[in-house]
Amino acid sequence: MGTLSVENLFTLSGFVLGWIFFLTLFFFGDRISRKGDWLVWIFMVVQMAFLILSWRVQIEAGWSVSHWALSWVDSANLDKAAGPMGPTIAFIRDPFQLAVWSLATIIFLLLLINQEILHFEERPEKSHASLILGFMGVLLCTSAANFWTLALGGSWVILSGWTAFSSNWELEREADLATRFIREKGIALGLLVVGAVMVHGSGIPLSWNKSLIQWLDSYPNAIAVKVGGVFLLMGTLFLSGGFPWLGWSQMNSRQSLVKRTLFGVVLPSLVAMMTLVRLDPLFRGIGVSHWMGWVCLSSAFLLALSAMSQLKKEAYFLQTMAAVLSLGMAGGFFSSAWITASILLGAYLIALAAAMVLSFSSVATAEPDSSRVSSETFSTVALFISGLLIAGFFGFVSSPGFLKSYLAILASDGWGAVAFFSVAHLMVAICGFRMNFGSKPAASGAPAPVYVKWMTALGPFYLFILGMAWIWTGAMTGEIVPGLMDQVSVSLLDQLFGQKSIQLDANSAEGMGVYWGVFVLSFAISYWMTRGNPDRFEKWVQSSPRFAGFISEQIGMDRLGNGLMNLLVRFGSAVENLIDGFLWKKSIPGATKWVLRILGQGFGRADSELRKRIEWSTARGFAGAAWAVQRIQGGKLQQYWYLSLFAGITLVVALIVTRGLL
Amino acid sequence: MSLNLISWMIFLPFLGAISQIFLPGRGKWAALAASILSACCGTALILGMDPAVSDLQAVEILPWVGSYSITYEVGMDGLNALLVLLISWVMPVLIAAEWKQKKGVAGMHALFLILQASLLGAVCAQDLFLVFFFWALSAVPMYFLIGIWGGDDRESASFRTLVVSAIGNAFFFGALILIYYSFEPHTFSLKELAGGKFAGKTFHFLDWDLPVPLLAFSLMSLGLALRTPIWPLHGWFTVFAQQSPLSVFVAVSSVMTAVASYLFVKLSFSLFPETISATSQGIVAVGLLNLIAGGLGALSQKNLRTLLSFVCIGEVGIALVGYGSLNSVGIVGAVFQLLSLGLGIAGFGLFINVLNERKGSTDFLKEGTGTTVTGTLGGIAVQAPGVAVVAAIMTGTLLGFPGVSGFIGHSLLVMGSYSVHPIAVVVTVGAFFMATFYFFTMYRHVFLGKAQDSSVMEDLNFREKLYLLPLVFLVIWFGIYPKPLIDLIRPTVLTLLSTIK
Repeated sequence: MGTLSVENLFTLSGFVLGWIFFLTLFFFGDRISRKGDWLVWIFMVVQMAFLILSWRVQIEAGWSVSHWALSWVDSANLDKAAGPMGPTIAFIRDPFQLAVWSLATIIFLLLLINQEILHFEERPEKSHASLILGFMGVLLCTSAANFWTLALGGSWVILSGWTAFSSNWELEREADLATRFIREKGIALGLLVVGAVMVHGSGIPLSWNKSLIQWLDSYPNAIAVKVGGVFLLMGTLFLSGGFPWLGWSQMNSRQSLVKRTLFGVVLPSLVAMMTLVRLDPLFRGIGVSHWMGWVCLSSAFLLALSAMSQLKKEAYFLQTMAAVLSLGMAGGFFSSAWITASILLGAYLIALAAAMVLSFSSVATAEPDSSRVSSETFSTVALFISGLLIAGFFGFVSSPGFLKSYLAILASDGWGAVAFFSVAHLMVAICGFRMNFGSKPAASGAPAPVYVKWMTALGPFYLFILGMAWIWTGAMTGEIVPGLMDQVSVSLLDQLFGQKSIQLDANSAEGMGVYWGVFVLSFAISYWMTRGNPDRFEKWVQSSPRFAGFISEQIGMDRLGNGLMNLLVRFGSAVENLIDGFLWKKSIPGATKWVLRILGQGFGRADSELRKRIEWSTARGFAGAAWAVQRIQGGKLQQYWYLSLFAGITLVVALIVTRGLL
Repeated sequence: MSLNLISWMIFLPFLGAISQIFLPGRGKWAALAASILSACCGTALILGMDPAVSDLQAVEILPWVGSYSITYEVGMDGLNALLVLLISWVMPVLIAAEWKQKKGVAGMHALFLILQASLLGAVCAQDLFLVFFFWALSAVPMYFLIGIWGGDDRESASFRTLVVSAIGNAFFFGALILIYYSFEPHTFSLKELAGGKFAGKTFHFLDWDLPVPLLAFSLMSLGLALRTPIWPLHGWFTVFAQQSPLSVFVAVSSVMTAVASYLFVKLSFSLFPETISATSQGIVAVGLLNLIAGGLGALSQKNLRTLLSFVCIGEVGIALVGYGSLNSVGIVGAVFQLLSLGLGIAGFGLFINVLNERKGSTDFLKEGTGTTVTGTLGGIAVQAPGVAVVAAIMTGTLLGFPGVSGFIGHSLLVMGSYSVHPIAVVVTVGAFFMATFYFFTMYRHVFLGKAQDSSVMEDLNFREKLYLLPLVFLVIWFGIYPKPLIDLIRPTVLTLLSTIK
C-alpha cells in the first residue's frame, strides 16, 4: 500500500469527473447545447493535463515503476483462501501505461475532432457519453496494477460499447446488436474473472509488481493455476473478438463503422491486450502460452476464412480486423508479449483508420466547397496503406512483430508450425489487400457524394503516422532488415518491454524469406481475386451460397450457439412444467386429495359400520328394559304395578302391626 | 423499565401499525414515519458498532416466561447488522411504493409494519423461542397481504402460502422443542446453547436412537427451506410471485428470503457446528441444484415476475454454495450477497411495479413464441430512461457486474468456495453465464427496440425517485466501497467458524 501521490489523486479525480460528465450526458445530453460534445472536450483536456503531469513525474523519477493501492474489499485478513492480497484498487505508473494512455488520448482526440464520422445517427449525446466511459475504462485498464482494477476498467469498456450500440435503442436491430454484444463480452469478462479467482484462490496475487513472479515460483496448486490461466486466456481471446465470438459483426446496424470498430473491437481488445501483457509472466510460467498460440492461430485462420465469405462490407472488415488481432496474439504466444503488443497496437490504428475511410461516403456531400476535398484519392491511398499494415509490411509497427513471430515459431516448432502460421497470415493479408483492390467507383450515373472535410480526409493518415515503425522501434524499417544501420532514435518498444526475446541476425534469412513470400503472394492473389465485377470472392460466395453461409456463420457456430441456448430454454421450460406444473400444481395436490378422500371414505365406512353396531347393541341391550318401560308407560301393566305396590305396602303394614313393631 | 434503541427499532413499527387504527386519513404518514424512525434506529445502531468486537453489541435482556427460561434477549453482531440494514432500508421503500394503494391502505401499511417488526425481531433475537416467535409471526401478515390485495387467484395463493408456512413453522418448532429438552438445564438462550453442546446426545424414538444435532438441524433446515424459495419446495413461491402485489413479493423475495438464509447460517453454525461440518457437501449440492434450476427456470420465463422468482431461487443457491465453503471468505461473501441480493431484488421488483402500474402487464415475451418476439413491453428506455437506468443498475448487481454490490458478494463467495469446492465454482460460473443470457434478453425486450403500443409511458415521478434512488445509491456505494461492511461481518464470521474448526 503506497501513499496517494498527486498524479494518482488526479487520476481518481479524473474518474470522478468522467462519471459526472458521463451521467450528465447520458441523462440530459439532448438538452445540452451541441449535444454536450464540449463536455467531452473538457474531459479530454483535463485528461491531457493529467497525462502531461504523469509524464513529467515519470521522467523525473527516471522511468521507475510506482505502485499505489487502495483497499477495496480488503480480504487480506480473512484467511488464506483469499490469497495473500485481496481485491484492491491499485494503480501503476510505468512506461507501458503511459505509452498506451498517450496513444488512447491521441486516438480519442482524433475521433472527437472528426466526430461526424463517429456518430451520424440521431442520438450523438449517447455516443459522447459512451466516449467518456470508454476512455475512462481504457485509462483504468492501463493504470491498473492488478487484475481486479483491470476487470473494473474492462467492465466500463464493455458498458460503454453497450451504451454506444444502444444509442438508437428504439430500432429493433440496434437493440439486438447491443444485446448480443454485451452478452458475449459479458461472458468473456466472466471467463476472465473465473480464471482470476482460480489463480488468486491458489495463492497467487494477480498484481503485476514483483510479487507476481515471486509467487509464481512457489505456487501451491499447479493444476488450478493452469486451468485458471486457460480461462484467463480464453477470456482475452473472446474479448478481442476471437473465433467464434464475432457473430454480432454480421448484424445489420445503422451505427457508423468507426463506432462499431472502436467500441466493438478496438476497446475490448485493448483490455485483452493489457491482460496479456500484464499477466505474461503467469502465462509463460504455467506453460500454456504455446498451446494458446495454436488456438489463436486457428482463430485467425477461421476468422479470415469467414471474412472472405462475407458479402457485407462491415462484417468483412470487422472480421478481418479480428483475424489480425488473433494472429497478433498467436505470434505473441509463440514468442513474447511485446510482439503481441506491437501487432495489436498496429492493428488498432489500422482498424480505426480503415473504418474512417470506409465511412467517408456516409459524411460526404456531392457538392465541393472550400472546406472540402474529394475523398477518392485519399481513400485509395489510405486503403492501400491499410492493406500494407494488415499484411505487416515493413515500415509499420506490426512488421517487426510479424517477422519475429516467424523466427520464433521456426526456432521453437519448426517448419510445420511456420507453414500453418504463414497460411493464416496469407489469408489475413489477402483480406487486407482486398480492401484496396476491391474499392470500386459508384456504378450509377448519379454523382456520388465524395467531398469530405479536409480534417476528415486527413484523419486516417494521422493514425498511419502513429503506426510508423520508427516511432515504436526507432529504426526506419522497423528492425526487419538485419545489419541495416537505420536506427534513428530510441526504441519505444525496448523502453516498454525491456530486452526483446528475438534478435535478428544474419541467420534469419529463412524466416525472412517466408515473411516476404507471404507478403508478395498475398498481394498477387488479392489482386487476381479482386479483378472483375463481381470479383472472384463474390463469385465464390454466389456459386456456393450454402457453404459460404456456413463459413460466414463462424462454421455454423452461431447457429449451434443459438440452438444450444434454445435447447437450454426448452429444457428449463420442461423442468419448470414438470416441477411447478406437474408436481406442485397437479400431482401433489391430486395425491393429497386422493389420500384424504380414501381416508375420508374409509372413515365414513367405518363410522357407518360403527354406528350400526352401536345401534344394534344398544337395541339388543336395552330392548327388554325398553319393552318393560314401554309397557309400563303404555298403561297395560300399570294396574298390576299399582296392585303389587299396594299389596306390598299392605303386607308391610300387616307385619308391623302383627309383630308389634310399632 | 426503559427500552434500549434496539427495542425501539423493533417495536416502533408495531406502534406504527397500531396507530393505523387511530389515525384515519393520516395513517400513511404515521406508517412511513414509524418505519423510517425504526430504520434510523437501526442505522444508528450499526454506525455505533465497534467492528473490532466479535461479541454481541447493543444487547438488551428482559425476563419473559421465567418458568421456561424464555427471555426477551436481543442484540446485534456483524451478521445480523447487514440484515437490519436491509430490512430498515427496504421496508420504508415498500410502504412508499404502496402510497397510492386505493384498497385499505391503512391495513396494508399496518401489515407491512408488523412484517418489518417481526423480521427485525427475528434477526436480532438471541433467544431461540424469541426467534421462533418473531419468525412465525412474520407469516401472518403475508397471508393477509396476499389474501386481500393479491391477484385473481389470491385465495388459493394465500391459502397455499399459509399452509406451507404453517408446516415450515411446525418443523422449526419441533427442532426448538428437541433442542430445549436435550439440554440441561433447559434453556432457549442461544449463547448458552452455542458451541456444539449437543454433540453425542440422542433422542430415543421407538427402537432408534437418533442423534439430536442431525435431527434438530434437519427439522430446522426443512422448516426454513419451506419458507424460503428452495428448489424443489418452491412451488408456492412461483404462485406467490404471480398473485401477490409486487411490493409484497419484493418483501418476501428480497427481505424474508435473506432473513431465512441468515437464520440458517446463524443457528446451524452456532448450534450444530459438527453437523454443518459433516453436511457441507450436501449444502453445496442443494445450492448448486437451486442455482441450476433457478437458471434454467429463468431462461424459459416470459414474465418479469416469474423471472424474478427464479432469479431469487438461483441467488439462494449461490448463498448456500458460499455457506458450504466453511471458510471466512466464502461465508462473508455469502452474507454480503444476501444484502446485495436483497437490495438488487428490491430495486428490480420495484421497477417491475412501476412498469405494471404504467403498462398493466409484466410480460416481456409473448407466450409460446420462443425468445425473439416481444410481448406487451418494449422500447421503454426511450419513453422512461430513468426506469431503464434503475433497471440496468439492478440487473448489473444481480449479475455481479464490477462496480456494483453484486460483484463484491459474488467474487468473495466464489473465491472462498473455490479453495474447497472447485467444481462447484465452475458450475456457479456456468449459472452466471446463463444469467447473462436471460437478463440481457429480458432487458432487450423490455427497454430496447420499438414500443409495443402507442401509449406514452411516464418516467419515474418524484415519489418513485425518492424511494428508488436510496436503493441505487446503496448498490453502487457497497459496490465501490464495501470495506466497512466487510470489516463489520468478519469478526462474527470468524467466531462462528472457530467452533467448527
